[in-house]
Parts: sequence; C-alpha cells; structure tokens
Amino acid sequence: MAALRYAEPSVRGDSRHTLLVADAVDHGRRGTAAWVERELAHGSKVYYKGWLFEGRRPEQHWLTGPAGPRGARDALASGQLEFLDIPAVVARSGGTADGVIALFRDEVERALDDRWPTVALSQESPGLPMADASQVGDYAAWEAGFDVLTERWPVRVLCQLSVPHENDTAQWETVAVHHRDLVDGVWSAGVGAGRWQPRGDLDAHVARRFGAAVHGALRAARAHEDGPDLHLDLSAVEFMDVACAEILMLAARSAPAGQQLVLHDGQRFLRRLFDAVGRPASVRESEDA
Amino acid sequence: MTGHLGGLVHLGLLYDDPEDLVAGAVPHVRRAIAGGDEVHLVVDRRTARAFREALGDDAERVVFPPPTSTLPPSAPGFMATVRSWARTDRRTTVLGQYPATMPAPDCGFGEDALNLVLRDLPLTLICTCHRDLDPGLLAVARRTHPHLATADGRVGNPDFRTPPTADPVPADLWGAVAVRLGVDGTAGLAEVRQCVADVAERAGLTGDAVRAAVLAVHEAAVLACRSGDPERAPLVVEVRSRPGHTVFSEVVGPPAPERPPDDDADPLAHLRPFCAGAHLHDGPDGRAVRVLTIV
Repeated sequence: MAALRYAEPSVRGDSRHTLLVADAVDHGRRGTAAWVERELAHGSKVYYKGWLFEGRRPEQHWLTGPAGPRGARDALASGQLEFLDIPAVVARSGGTADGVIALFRDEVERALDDRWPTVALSQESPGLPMADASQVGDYAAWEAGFDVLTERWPVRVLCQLSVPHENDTAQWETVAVHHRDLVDGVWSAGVGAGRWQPRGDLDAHVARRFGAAVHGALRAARAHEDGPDLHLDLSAVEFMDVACAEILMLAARSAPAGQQLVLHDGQRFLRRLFDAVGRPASVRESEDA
Repeated sequence: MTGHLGGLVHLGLLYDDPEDLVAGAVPHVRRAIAGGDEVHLVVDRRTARAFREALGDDAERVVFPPPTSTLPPSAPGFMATVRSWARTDRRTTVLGQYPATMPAPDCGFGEDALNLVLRDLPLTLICTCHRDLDPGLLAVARRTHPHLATADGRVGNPDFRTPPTADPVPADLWGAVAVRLGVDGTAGLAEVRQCVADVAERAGLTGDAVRAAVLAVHEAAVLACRSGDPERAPLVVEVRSRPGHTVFSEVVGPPAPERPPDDDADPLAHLRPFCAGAHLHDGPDGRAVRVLTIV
C-alpha cells in the first residue's frame, strides 16, 4: 500500500484543463492557493474568478486578502493576478457559453500580447443550478471552450468544484466533463496513450464522483474517432473497494451494445475484485495483458 | 447469503466410548438428514462402523470424510475449511472428534473463533470430546459450546462462557491490540486502510493477502457507518494481531436501524471472499463488524 497522500494539480506541461474537487471549503482553498502560488512562481499571468460577498473588494477575498498567501496579494497589486467577481463575469458574458468563452479568450490574448509566457485561469465553484438539459449542455459547451483554449495556447485552467456548494447534478456533470484531468483528494484521473487512467484510492467516499468520471469517460469514448471502446489503464490504482468496482462493472454492463471496457495493466487483485462483484461480457482484458 | 437457513449451531458432545458417542449423536444426525442437511461425520473407523450400524439405510445419505480432511484449529486454513462446508441452499451438519494430540490452547482458539466470527453460517457443528482426553481439552469442550448434544436432544450447557467480543478481549485469543483509532465516516477510511496494511504486513501477510485483508476491513467500516450519515459517522477501529496466525479487526459504529424481518440477504456477502470469517452484531449501543484474516 502506498503511503496516504493527497494529489495536487500539477503545473507541469504547457497546457492543462484540470478540475480540483474539494469535499470541504478549506481543502479547496488550500489546493487552489498552492496552485495559484506555483503558477505565479512559474511566471504565469493569472486570471482568477471568485465570489465576492457583501460588496467586498478583491483585497478582502480569502485568496488575495490579508489571510491569503503573500504571493497572491503581491501579484494582485502588481497586476500579475487579475481578479474578477463571478457576477461580473455573468454580466459581461451574458451568461451564455459563447459569451463566457469569448471573455476568457480575450483575457488569454491580452496576456500573450503583454508577453506573459503562460496564462493560468481559475474559477471558483460556479453554483450553477443545472436544472435542465439545456443548462447542462451550456455548461459542457463552455468547458469544451476551455479545451480549445488549452489546445491552442499555453494556457492552464483550474476549475474548482466545491462539493458543499453544488447540487448533485452539478457535481455529477462537472466531474463527468472533467474526467480527463481531475484531482479529488486521494484519487485523480488523467489520460495518456489513448487510455483513461484513474489513480490513487477509489473508495465509497468518492464512489459517486468516480461513477460520474467513468460515465464521462465512456461517453467521450463513444464520440472519439478511436471509439467506442474505453481503454482503462489500471496501473496507478492503489486501492479500489467494492462500491467502486460495482460502479465500474455496472457502467460497462449498461453501456450501449458494441462498446467495451478494455482493461490494461494494474494489480491482479483488481481482477479478483471484478470477478467477485460480477464482470460482464463487455469488460475484457487488453491483448497486451 | 444464507439468512433463511439460520446461523451456526455449535454443539458439544462428551463421551466415554464410540457407542456412547453414537447414542448421543444419532438423534441429531437423523434430524439433520430429515431436514435435508448435507451431513459429514468425520470420525475414526471404529466410530464410523458404529454410526453405519445405528443409521441403517440412512447411512447412505451421510458422507464419512477421513479425519485428516479437517485440520486442527491452530493450522492455517481451518476457518476456511469450516467456511467451505457452508452451502447457500441448505444447511450442513458436521460431526468431528477432538484429536488427542491437539494442544488445548489451539483448540480453544479455534472454538472461540467459530463462536465469534462464523456465527451466521448455516452450519451445525457437533464437536465430540472423549472424557479421557487431556483435562485441558475437556475444559475447552465444556467452555466453548453453548449447547450439548445428548441422546435426549439438545440441552443448554451451564459451563459455556461467551468469549468477550469487546474489551477486554483475551490477548491469547486475537493477540495484542496493534492499532486502535477513531475516524469520522468514510472520509477517514484511507487512514484505516493504511493502518490495517501495516499490521497485516507485520503479521506475515504479503501481496494480495494484504490487499484482501485491507479490503475486508474497509468494507466492514463502510458497513459500520452505513446506519448514520456515512460522511460523519464516528467509527472506532481496533486491529489485533497474532503474528504468523491471525489479524482480527473490529469496527464499531452507530446503532443501525432494525432490519425488516423478511430481509434475509447477507449484508457481509461482498466481503466474505476476502477474509476467513466475518460477523455483524447489531446492539442497542452500536453496530460492530468483525473480520478475521488467517495468515
């Protein structure tokens, strides 16, 4: 067993679009502050979207105020970090997916024109109601817009999901959309060599969010040119419990006909666990096993 | 798994000679056959002959495995052997004889383990002990069986002593406490897993055996906090170890709501493949889930 540890969003590589999930407000703030400080130290221009309550100014926010890290306060003063209140984002963008993406694109272009080598964008949990399919679709569209930004420019995006502040639908959709790159306490997920790779400890505490990520990965695989099979790299899974194994097998069982879950690498014990909970025919071992 | 079949019935039978043994056991064996049980009589040749004569045609419905097919209680795999007798669709009755060479402490350990962690298996075990055996073995037989099998049927055993299931647990049963920690709900289970892994490795487990032990205790903890708010339920986890022999874990959580009377699903079915024994105890003060792993 690996020592207990919490994963942190990385700033390595030129471009990333990462979701930071936090069960508690203070966990999220610690992770976000560390990311912002690393980006500032890395020389990035940082655009931060946060909530300012009761008419407060950025200088009073938890990140850029007196209680925040010194680097963030100094960067706000110097202009390396720009802060925008989330209601102001909605007002400027019109609240539409296209409007939000246009606003972020303008910021990125402005920063690159000003010769910043990289741009870091982060926004706090938006508190979206996601009450119907249209709102869910809008959300997916603007997150896809972030992907376009990261593909085109040296941009790193850190989306924040504060579990206490979001409803079940928002949590599910947010994790599903970000299945390619997310960090959630003792587990995380990424993509490499055409395989989706969950990492760390997958247990009952995160089972629902793991299920959302599996759902997102299967959905994305169906739309991918190399799909519809989802290739799952298990080499970095340290622990998986029965709840998560059942979720994985159930997701594979309920996938549309023709879509398979292909297992790569990982512990032999995981196969024993899958067999114990019931492995459907739509789950198969890779040919390189 | 098998709730509708009833749990463990653990009978002792003290005897002076094979005929005495058979006279005390036959009513129970006939009742088991009539009830559709799978019946195993694990006895020496002379006693097997006596059983065949006493049972007549019914002897055809009984199997007589050699005594070597059951390991002494201290040997690795004994608990797994007992578990292997359990069926999902019928009860199993097994009668066995105490070997004269079996050390009394090992025998006591095995018998207490049956009472503590295999109590919900659909088994009737009839443990027979010759009155001329070592007094220590005889004392174990008297102490560890809630009921005695006699020619007149099952009677309560006034000498039975329930092994403690909470502090103070005798150290010679489950070993010394290796870890005792409190965690709040499912968010604290990573710490529990790390502790169990450390204890399991120190006890002599390796590789997948460690992973199985960790998974079983983790699932026990999930079950223990299912009754309240899983995120916040206070859990106390105690792990005991006898290096080279066993790892025993007990997870205590908040009281669980009463199960519907028609719910006969085994709530431990998902973790049983990963341990030698598991037991769920719901009491007014809390829910305790116990897991035994054999090294």
